[in-house]
Amino acid sequence: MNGQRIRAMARKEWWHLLRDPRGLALILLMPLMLLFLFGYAIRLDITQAPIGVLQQAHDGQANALVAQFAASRSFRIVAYYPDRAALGQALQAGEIWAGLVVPRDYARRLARGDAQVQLLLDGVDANTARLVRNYALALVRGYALSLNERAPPLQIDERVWFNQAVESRLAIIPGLIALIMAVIGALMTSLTVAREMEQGNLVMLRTTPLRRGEFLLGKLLPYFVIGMADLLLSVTVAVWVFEVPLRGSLLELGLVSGLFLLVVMVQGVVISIVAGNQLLASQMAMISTFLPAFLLSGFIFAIDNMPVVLQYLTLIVPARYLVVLSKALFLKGVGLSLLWGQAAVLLLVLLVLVRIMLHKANKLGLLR
Amino acid sequence: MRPIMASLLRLRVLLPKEFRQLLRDPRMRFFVLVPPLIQLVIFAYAATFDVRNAQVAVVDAAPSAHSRALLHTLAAGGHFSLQVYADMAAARRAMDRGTVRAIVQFPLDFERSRRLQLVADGSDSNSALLIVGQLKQTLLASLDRRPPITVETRAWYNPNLDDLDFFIPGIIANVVLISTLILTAMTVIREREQGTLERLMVTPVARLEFLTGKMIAVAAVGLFDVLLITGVGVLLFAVPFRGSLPALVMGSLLFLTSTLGIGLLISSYARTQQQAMLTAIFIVLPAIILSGFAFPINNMPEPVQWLTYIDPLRYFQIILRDLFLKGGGLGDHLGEYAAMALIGLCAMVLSLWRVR
Repeated sequence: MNGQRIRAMARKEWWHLLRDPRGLALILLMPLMLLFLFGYAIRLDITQAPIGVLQQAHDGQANALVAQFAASRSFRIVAYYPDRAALGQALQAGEIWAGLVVPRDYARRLARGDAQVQLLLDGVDANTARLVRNYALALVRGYALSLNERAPPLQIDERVWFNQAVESRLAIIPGLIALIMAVIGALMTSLTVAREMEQGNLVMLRTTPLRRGEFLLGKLLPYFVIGMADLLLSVTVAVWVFEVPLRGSLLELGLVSGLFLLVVMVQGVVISIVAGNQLLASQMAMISTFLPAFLLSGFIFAIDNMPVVLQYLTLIVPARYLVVLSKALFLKGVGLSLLWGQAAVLLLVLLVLVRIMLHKANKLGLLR
Repeated sequence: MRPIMASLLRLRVLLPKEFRQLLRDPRMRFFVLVPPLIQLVIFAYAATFDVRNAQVAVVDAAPSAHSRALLHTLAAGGHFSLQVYADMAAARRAMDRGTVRAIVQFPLDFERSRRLQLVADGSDSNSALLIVGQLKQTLLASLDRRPPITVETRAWYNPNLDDLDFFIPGIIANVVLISTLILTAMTVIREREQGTLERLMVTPVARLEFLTGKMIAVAAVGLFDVLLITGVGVLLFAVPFRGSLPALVMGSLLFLTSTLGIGLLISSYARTQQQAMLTAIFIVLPAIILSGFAFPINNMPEPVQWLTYIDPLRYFQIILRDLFLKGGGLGDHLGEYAAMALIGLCAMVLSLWRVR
C-alpha cells in the first residue's frame, strides 16, 4: 500500500465526480427526496379512515353506536347511505374504505344481549382493510364492555414508550437512514469499476505500478466522503425539519452509519466487478440492495411478522442491523454499550465482503 | 409507400440486433427472469402488517390464578409468544434491545386492584398500535364470553384478506417499471458512450427507426415479465385473475408506452450511464411509493395526492388490481388508458424534440 498512489487514484475519482455536477446534485438530493416521501407523503397509521354508514334504525341506541365511530380519531364518516346498493357502489368506487351497517333490529337485540352490526370492507388492499377492521372491532368491543355491567372488571393502562403520540413519522425516519445509505452507497459504487472495465481504462492501469488494494481504496474514498455528507444532511433534516428526537449519541450514530456505508459500498464494488458492465450492474444493485433494505430490514415491515424462513434470510441483510441501531439511537437513547452485538455483525459482514472483493478483484489484472 | 417498406425492412434487421444485444449476456437473461420471481415471493411473505407471533414480555409481580388464566388466553391465541421476565428493569432492557415488542405487567396488588399495564414499543408505531389493540381485545374477550354487540366483517373481493392477492398487481407494476425505465434510459446512452451510435449514423437507419427498434426490444422484456408474474401468480400461488386477458395486454402496452417515454426523456438529458441511472432511480422511487401499491393514496396529504396523478404507475396499479380482483374488460378503464398514453406521448414528443 502506497499512500501517494491511493491519493492519486482518489483525486482522479474525485475529479470524475466533480466534473459531473448534475450527477453530484442528484446524489445529494436523493436523501431529501426519500425523507420527503417517507416523512411527509406516506402515513402508516390510519387516522380518519373514510367510512360510510347505512343506518337502518334511528333510535337512541343505534345513534349512540354511530356516534362512537364519529367521535373516534381513527374514522371519518364521509356519507350516510339510504340503502345497501348505494353503500356498495361507494365501496366499489373506492370512495370509502369500509361500510358500517346498523340493522333495523339493533336496539331490540341489544336489549337481549346479542346485537349484531355488519362491517363491509374493501378487501383489495388487505393491509389497510385489516387495520380498519381491527380498529373497528376494538372500538365496538370497548363500547360493548362499557354497556355491560355484569362483565368482571379489568382495567388496562396502555402506554407506548419512546413515541408517546404514536406518530409513524418518528418510527419511520430513523429506519429510513439505513435505506438512504443503502441506495446511495450501492448505486454510487456499483457503476464505478464497471465503467472502467467497459471503457477499457483498466488496460492502461495495468501498465502502472498501481496495486489492486490501492485502486479499490482510492475508488471508495471519495464516495465515502459523499456518503457521509449525505448522512449528515439526512440527520440534520430529520432532527430539525421532521423533529425526530436524537436521544442517543451522535458520534455513535455516525460510527455505525459509516460502518454500514462501507458495507454497502464494498457490496457495490463486488457487484460492479462481477457485472462488468454498467447496465447489468445497475439492475443488480437495485435488486440486491434497495429491495432487501426496503422489505427485509424491519424498516417498515416488522421482521417478527414474517415466516421463519424469511426471518433467517433477513440475517444476511446488512440494513437490518442498522435499522435496529438507528431506531435505538434516535428514539430509545440506548447505544453501543447495549447493542454492540449488532455493530459487531456489521463489522463481520464488512470483513467477509472485503475478502470477497479482493478475491474478485484479481480478475481486474492489477498487481496484487 | 416505398419509404415505409424500406423502413420496416431496416427495422427487421435492427430488432434481432437489439434482442441479441440485450440478452446476449447470460447474467442479463438471469436478471430478466429471476428478480421478478424473487420479488414475488418476498413481497408475498414479507410485506405484511399483520401481527403474527409477536414477542411479548410478561412481568408478573404476584402470580395468581387470575393472572395465570389471562396469560393462558394470550398464549393460546397464537399471535403472541410470551417471555417471562423477573422485573420491569429486565423487561425494559429487552425492549431496548428490540427483542420484545410489548410488555404485559401485572403489579403486586393485581389481585385487589384488577389493574394491569400494557407497554408497546413506539419505535415501530404501526405495530405498537396493532399489538396493543390485539392484546387488549384478547384480554377483554376472555372476560366477556358473550359480548352484547358483535361485528360481522365481510371483505369484498378478497374475503380472506390475502396479502398476496393484493400485492401481485403491485409487483407486476414495480418490476416492469424498474426494469424497462432503467433499461431504456441506459441503453441509448450506452451506444453513445461506446461510440456505436456514430457508426449507426452513417447507415441509412433513421433516428426514429433506431429508437423504435430499441423500444420494441425493451417493451418485449416488460411484457414478458407481466405475463411471467401473472402466470406464476395464478398457477403457483392461486391468485385469482377475474378480468380479461386483452385488457391486461392493452393496459401493459400503454403503461410501457409511458415508462419507455420517460426512459427516453431521461436519456435525452443524461450524458453518462451513471447520470441516466441516478435520474432513473430518482423517478422510480417516488413513482413506486406514490402509486398506492403499499401505502393508500387516500391517506396522503392533499398536495401529494395531486402529485400522484402524473404517476403512470398509479393508473396501471388501478387497472391491474381491478383485473385481478374485481374483473372487467377492455372497456372499463378508458380514463386510465388515456392518462398513461398521454404521459407516454408527452414524454416521447419532448425527448424527440430535445435530441433534434
